[in-house]
Amino acid sequence: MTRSLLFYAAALLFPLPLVAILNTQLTDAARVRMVISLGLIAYCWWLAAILLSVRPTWLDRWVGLPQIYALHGSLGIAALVVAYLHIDNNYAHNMLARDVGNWAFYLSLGVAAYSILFMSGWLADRLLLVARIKRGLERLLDHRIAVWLHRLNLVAVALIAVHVHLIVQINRHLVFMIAFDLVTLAVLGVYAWKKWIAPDSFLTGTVRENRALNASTRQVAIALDEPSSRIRPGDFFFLRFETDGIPRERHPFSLTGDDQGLATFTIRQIGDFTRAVPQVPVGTRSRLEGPFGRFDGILKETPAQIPLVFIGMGAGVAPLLSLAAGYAGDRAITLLWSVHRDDDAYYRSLIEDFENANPDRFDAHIQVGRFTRDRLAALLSAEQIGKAQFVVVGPAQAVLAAQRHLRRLGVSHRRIHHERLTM
Amino acid sequence: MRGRRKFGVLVGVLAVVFAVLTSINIGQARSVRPAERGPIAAHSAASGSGAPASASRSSGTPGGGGVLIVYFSRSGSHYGGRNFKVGNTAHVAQFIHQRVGGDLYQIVPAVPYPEDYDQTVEQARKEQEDGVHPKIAGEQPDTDRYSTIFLGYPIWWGEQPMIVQTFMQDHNLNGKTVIPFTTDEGSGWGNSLDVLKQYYPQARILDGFEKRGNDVADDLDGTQRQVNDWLEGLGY
Ligand SMILES: Cc1cc2nc3c(=O)[nH]c(=O)nc-3n(C[C@H](O)[C@H](O)[C@H](O)COP(=O)(O)O)c2cc1C
Repeated sequence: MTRSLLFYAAALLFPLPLVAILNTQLTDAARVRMVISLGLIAYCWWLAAILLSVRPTWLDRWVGLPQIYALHGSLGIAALVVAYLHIDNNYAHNMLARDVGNWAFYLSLGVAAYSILFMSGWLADRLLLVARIKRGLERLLDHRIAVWLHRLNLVAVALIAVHVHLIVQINRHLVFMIAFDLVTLAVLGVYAWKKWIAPDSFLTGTVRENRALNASTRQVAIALDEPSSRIRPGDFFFLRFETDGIPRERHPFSLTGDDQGLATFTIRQIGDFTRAVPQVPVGTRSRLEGPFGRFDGILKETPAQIPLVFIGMGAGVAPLLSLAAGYAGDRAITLLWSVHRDDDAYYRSLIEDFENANPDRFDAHIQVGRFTRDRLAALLSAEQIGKAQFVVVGPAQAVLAAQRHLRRLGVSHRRIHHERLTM
Repeated sequence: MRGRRKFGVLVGVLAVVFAVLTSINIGQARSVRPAERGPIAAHSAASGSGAPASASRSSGTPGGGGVLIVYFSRSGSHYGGRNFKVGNTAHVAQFIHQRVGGDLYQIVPAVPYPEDYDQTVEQARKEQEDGVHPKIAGEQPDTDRYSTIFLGYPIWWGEQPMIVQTFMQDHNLNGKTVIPFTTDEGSGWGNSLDVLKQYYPQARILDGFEKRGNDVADDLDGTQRQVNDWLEGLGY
């Protein structure tokens, strides 16, 4: 809670230094300074959103990637609102400055509308129609085009920088301009570093195994060149395969085990990238950005006598198995797994192994079809509903439904931790 | 190492970009004009014979005494590529005159501003930056004869056009009731109320009227109603 507050406060206050410098340099009336400052605040929030898109792993461990993305999106939208107020209450003498600023605004507006619909899960996870349109568009538009469209925001930021340089009332204030340029270049520098330099220090490994678990799911095991002690149970990586058969993009996948030298992933084949996974031969080099994930941190802070309930939907069981590998025996664990069809229960024997190894501290239920509220009520004990920590992972809509059921049953939202597999 | 070389390239590129930007910035940075403002002499400029043609037919006013409506307004090409025969501020001045009566005086520059909008913008910026006070054409009214002055102007570069500031410098309105009105394209009053106070720290400055110029031009009747409501609020 306090962490999230600090995190949000830091982002909100990010514009403060530049706004302070500008206001000490301008001699205008308060209203004039305020309207100019609004533009600067919007710009800084866009810069902050760019910084967040770099998704540093330390920040993920601190607040979690979903929060990072939520703030990234919220800042982008809040900046649009503030930028609109700036435009609406301002007057530009220099027509070019005005036009360049307006282009930046409309570009950002377009990209934001597009991103809200198709990149974030805000609407697509909740509204069936949006989800359908999104799926249809994904078939038309390559994922890479989608990413490039989103990067038009960088063009918008560059346009705003030009806009500021064109305004005489602003550009004659040397101290501010230098500070403005420094902040801009620092942020773009961090972004460039992340794109071109940071990947050199990602974990690397070689595909050791790539086999079908059933008709639509594969298991890929990557032997890391060097084991990494940073890997925790339940973590996920952004994976990229260095081979021609598959798009050279990074996509997120959860670990299925807790081995720090052999990273095993369960990959359901639903998109362009995942459908090409069968074409990745054993021996392929691969790069892993990460590890990311908050589950281990949360479970570590949970006292040992508190029971754990893992609820997995479909391939969402992967990180839960990883957590099970890390915590079975030490904690009382109940694993609930719902699958679409009977042959989707590809980890049945693995789960039975956990049960057999820990007869009274691990029990599991696998069922075909979704968990209804009645079903969950029947499966969970009063103690679990009253005390347990819940970890819920699966497709977004299934996770949202399960969370709703749990809350109705009386589980406080603070004890429900989740990961939605959107992408 | 590959990473280190790329890092060097990145830092190098950023440094070059920064150096270029900074040199542009230094080129652009100009000294800011000192703000020394106020009427030059207590009673100045044209006094005596300078009363405007229209006879004083002022109704009773809150300020008491006569009312003078002074304004500057520019016809010709305007913001957003529009062209007006009567300037936006002139419309407002006329609406005030219709309701309040009194004398109407339009500030006319001895050398007219260019027809072209962009040229006017550039000239206005230079005037303001260099603190130039352009000359006013013709005779000016004797403001001593009035206790209430409506002062109207468009916002130029965030404040009163320098030609209006010429008038303000020439006439000491301290001790009088001064009622500002303005049209603008987004700045609102900008810095103009501060400027007004700098010129006339001892004037009684009442709540003024402000509206976007294009909104005035698009809805004259509505504007007149708003002006009347505002004046009614002031007691006219
Ligand atoms: C030289 C010049 C500078 C201007 N500067 C500003 C400004 O700083 N802020 C603003 O909101 N509008 C500005 N404007 C727009 C005018 O204030 C607006 O068009 C006003 O309604 C013109 O009034 P008029 O028709 O009475 O001359 C400027 C216009 C000109 C010609």
